[in-house]
Amino acid sequence: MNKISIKFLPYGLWMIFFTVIPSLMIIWFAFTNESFEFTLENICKISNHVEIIFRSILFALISTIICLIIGYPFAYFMTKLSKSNQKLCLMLIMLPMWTNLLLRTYAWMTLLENNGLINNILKAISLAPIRMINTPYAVILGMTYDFLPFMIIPIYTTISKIDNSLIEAGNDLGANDFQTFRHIIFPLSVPGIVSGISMVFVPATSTFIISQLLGGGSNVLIGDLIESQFMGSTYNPWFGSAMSFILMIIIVIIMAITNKFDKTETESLQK
Amino acid sequence: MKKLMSMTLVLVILLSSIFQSGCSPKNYPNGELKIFCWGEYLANGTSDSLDIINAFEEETGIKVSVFSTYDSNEQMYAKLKYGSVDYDLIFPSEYMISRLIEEDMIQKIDIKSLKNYSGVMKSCKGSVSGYDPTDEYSVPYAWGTVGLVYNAPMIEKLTNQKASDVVKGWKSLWDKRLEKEIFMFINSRDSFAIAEKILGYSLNTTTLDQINDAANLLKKQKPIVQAYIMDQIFDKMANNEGAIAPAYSGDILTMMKENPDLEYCFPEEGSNIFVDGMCIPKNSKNVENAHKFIDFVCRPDIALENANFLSYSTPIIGAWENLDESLKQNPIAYPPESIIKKCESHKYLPKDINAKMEALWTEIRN
Repeated sequence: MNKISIKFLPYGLWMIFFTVIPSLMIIWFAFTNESFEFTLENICKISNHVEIIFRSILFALISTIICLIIGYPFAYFMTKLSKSNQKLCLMLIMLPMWTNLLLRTYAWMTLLENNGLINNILKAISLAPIRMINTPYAVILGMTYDFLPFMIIPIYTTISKIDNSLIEAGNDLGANDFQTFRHIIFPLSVPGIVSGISMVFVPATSTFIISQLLGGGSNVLIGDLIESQFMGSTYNPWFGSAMSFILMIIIVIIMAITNKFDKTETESLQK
Repeated sequence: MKKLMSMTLVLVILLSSIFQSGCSPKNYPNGELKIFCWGEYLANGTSDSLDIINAFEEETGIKVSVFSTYDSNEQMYAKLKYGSVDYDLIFPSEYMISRLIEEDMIQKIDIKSLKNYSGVMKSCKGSVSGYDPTDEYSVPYAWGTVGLVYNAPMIEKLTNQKASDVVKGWKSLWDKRLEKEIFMFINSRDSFAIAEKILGYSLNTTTLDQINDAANLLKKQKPIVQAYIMDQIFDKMANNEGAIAPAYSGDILTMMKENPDLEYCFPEEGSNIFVDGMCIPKNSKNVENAHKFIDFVCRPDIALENANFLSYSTPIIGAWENLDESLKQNPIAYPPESIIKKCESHKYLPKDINAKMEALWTEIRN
């Protein structure tokens, strides 16, 4: 027992210094003001920005759903490929992640601009150019693109770990392909879906640079608002912390709901 | 035992990296200097410029041990106030200088010890535009004005009028014919300043009614604005992504070099003059070296190098005199007295006004 605790000491210290204490500091800041007195003012002020919170959640939700719609079939069909092709696919998915997120977003900016690549191609084949940059759609596109790998990879991992004998048993009992998928593969891949959803939804809710670069600064998200409290012309870490605190709570609630879904699904399978 | 060893090793490495900054190499006998500066704001040897830091180190034997950069006054302020670093020299803008003075975060500079101070243009000094009433806390480093940059062919196409007849002042940013071809500043202060100038108010107004008027004007503009941006303006205007934008004079010069279709207009309603100064934070440990650096940068030959590197205007007369004739006479970089008279500099606004403005701005952009 003692040996184990020594082994975990560095990790424990790391967690305490870089996760627990900072989180406590956020909460402390959220409930104090400049002169370190207890106040609920910061939390109350958030009610002025309900629209921004709602939009952040909506955008994150939409891009999570799109990621799921694109990612699930992709992950499923990937498992059907030969081992070497699977490896190749995985590498291609990871490839964009080797590039910095900011750079990828800038790349989208040059693609979507009024005189960007896409519109130039449209013009070249004498089609009318479309206004894409600085719209909410561009922000959702950017989020979906940036976070798609985080959806595909956990789903792929869970599906590829499904015991093939289960599928064979299903086939022996006369299940067609759809029934096999509906009753065996899909329920067993739910844990992958759940972790995929949380890995996309959480960073998407708190993203800020994508909305600034692709949304033209007029689709303000909660991440932008928090950033402006620390970097903007009103330096207000107290309100910024309150926003971060509320964001944490929202994320915890949503995670709890998805995890519950995960549990019921696995339980129903065990019956 | 092994584990204990490795853990002590880790600790030793960690601690040594903390204390490393304490020892300086032998070839710099005169101590060190920690600079906190805007990014790309000091000639650094690229594109045929002089590496000022290097030249300073060689000449004075002072090691510039820290050179960090920031991209907003607020970021700099936050690091200065809440960070654990002690910088010796910072480059705040005028409104931030007045705030730092008010909050007792910078110290008086011994102006008399600066040999080159006499060469500083009067019009840039804090006592003239009011950000440093006694000229004791800051030495001007660079300055400029805010103006309009527009894409002449685009405007002519959209309005069927001569571009210089369309763009006369800030009002053009509200011109419905230019719908979705307009860019605005993303920061509240600069955007409110534009609206306030149209309404004929001071850009330092603290009257709530006037601020609300400005907010309403900005709200009306929002549907025709393509994007609220800051640094992306260079690429956007260079690639014909929009027809008109407000910008800083130095940036406009850079943009016009890249895209020959771009033209400049000084807004008839008047505008904002900005000055970035050099200041020494209260907790500086190398005050004397900071003075040496300020004096070095004010020396005409060094200031000239800087002026050619930066697109912003130099406040050093001796440097301005030796600029290329084309830049020296350029009304964008060095506007005539009559235009400077129509300009106002930002002052630090009271906290509640600032917060109000920021809240309104978030609401407008939403």
